[in-house]
Amino acid sequence: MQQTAQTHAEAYLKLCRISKSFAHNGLLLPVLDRLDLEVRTGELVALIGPSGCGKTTLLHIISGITPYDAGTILLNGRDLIDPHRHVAYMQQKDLLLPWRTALGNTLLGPEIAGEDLKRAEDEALQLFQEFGLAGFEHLYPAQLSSGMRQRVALIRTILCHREILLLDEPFSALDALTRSQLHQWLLHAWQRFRHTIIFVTHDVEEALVLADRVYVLTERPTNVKAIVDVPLPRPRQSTLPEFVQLKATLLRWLHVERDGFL
Amino acid sequence: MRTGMRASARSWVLPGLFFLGLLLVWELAVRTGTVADYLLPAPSMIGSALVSHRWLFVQNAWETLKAVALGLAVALSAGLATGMVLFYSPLLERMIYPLLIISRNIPYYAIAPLLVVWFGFGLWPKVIVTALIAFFPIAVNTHDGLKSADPDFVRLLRALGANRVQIFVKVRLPGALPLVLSGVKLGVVFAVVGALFGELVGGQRWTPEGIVGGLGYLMREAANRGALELAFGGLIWLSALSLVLFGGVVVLERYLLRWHVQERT
Repeated sequence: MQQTAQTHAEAYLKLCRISKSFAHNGLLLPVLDRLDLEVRTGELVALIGPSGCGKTTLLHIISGITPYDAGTILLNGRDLIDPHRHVAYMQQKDLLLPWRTALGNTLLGPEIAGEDLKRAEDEALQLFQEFGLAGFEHLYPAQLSSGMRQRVALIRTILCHREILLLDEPFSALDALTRSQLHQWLLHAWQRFRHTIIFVTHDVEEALVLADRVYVLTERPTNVKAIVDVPLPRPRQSTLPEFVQLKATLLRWLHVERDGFL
Repeated sequence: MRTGMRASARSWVLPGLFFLGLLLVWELAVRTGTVADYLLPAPSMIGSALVSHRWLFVQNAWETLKAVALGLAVALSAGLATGMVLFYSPLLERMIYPLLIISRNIPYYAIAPLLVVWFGFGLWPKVIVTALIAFFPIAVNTHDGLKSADPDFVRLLRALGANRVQIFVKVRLPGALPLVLSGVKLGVVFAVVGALFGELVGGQRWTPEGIVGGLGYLMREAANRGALELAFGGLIWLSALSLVLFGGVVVLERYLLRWHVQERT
């Protein structure tokens, strides 16, 4: 199986013993405690854990927004020194600039990087087409529904032309129907562009619909509690017995007390 | 949009009728001698003064407009620059911003007579008063607008590798625009009042055609000489000037903030 072949492949993005504390009221509050994480090329990994467990901090660290205290981050076996060249970050808030049209928003990345804008625009228009947004290119964000805005944000993230996408609960503010549509858009884009994706969620089912592997994280200070493989073909039906079983496994892991586990 | 315009046109019918009624009562009160016409000229007298002395008004309105335009230009450039400097320099911000807020409450019109002493009669004292009072709302709003930028937007651009200039041009400036423009609207209203004050205390200049001192000067002189219909005519011109300038900024605002207008509807 391809799955086992990949298991032996060298990790593409590798976090080794990452630690991070925040100063809070004169105390050091440890958020990440010697956390290890491995993601292979083109893999979609979901991180799941209790809220406030430092998942966002972890993504901030990978994307270079937040410095870390100790540990190493390797990309292809080398230190990741310029994350913003390799990593695009998307979060729950769509962060579309209200004064730019949908199209203008998606071109933000190429503009800042000084890329050929004509080519980027052609590419963007193609993606609008594929994401069912044809005809909405020149509307302002305020005129779009939340599901559309999130798709525009996804196009913007793709057009940043980075190999790694960090998605921080990007669909958690949407209703169930829109969310499952966006899962299909995301999987479609992922299969087309072969990004390496780290997807943070607190929704077990979302993790199982999307991910190749699911990392279950502990409460703060965060560490890895379990890594669960999801060897199911896509599109995945949440009613299939294998799916239900994996869901039970994940929920069990989530509810194991940290002390009991250690 | 169409229907909205028609609805807003209809909403002006009633106030318009009321205003016409007021004019009628006013006219009758003067015609019947209830009010003496040397104290309150009838609307018809004001109307005929507007027509027969049209060049006098045009000349003086032009003089006032020059002061307002120059003053606004100075206020706009100094206000935008000050707002930006205060935003980018925390030290200057702490030093100057509180003073800026407090000094908004100083009645700057009151220093018009001093400016006449310092700079003499003519255009420049008026320009200075105008610039001075229009400066404050523009400077304060520019600073506040830049400050109001959503830190998430800034972080997003940083993560995309944007430099400070790109962050300023793509996020801070467009985000500040609504506040900057409302500062400019205030500035325009203040500027007309400022020019008027400058003209009320002085500011005439000699021209081959006679004395031109702007609408404020015209109103003062007309009132002194009992030509109240001319003073009223000056008032009408001044109001029109103020409305046109304000309307111009509103049109500019509608264009620049079309995303904002759509957000409200």
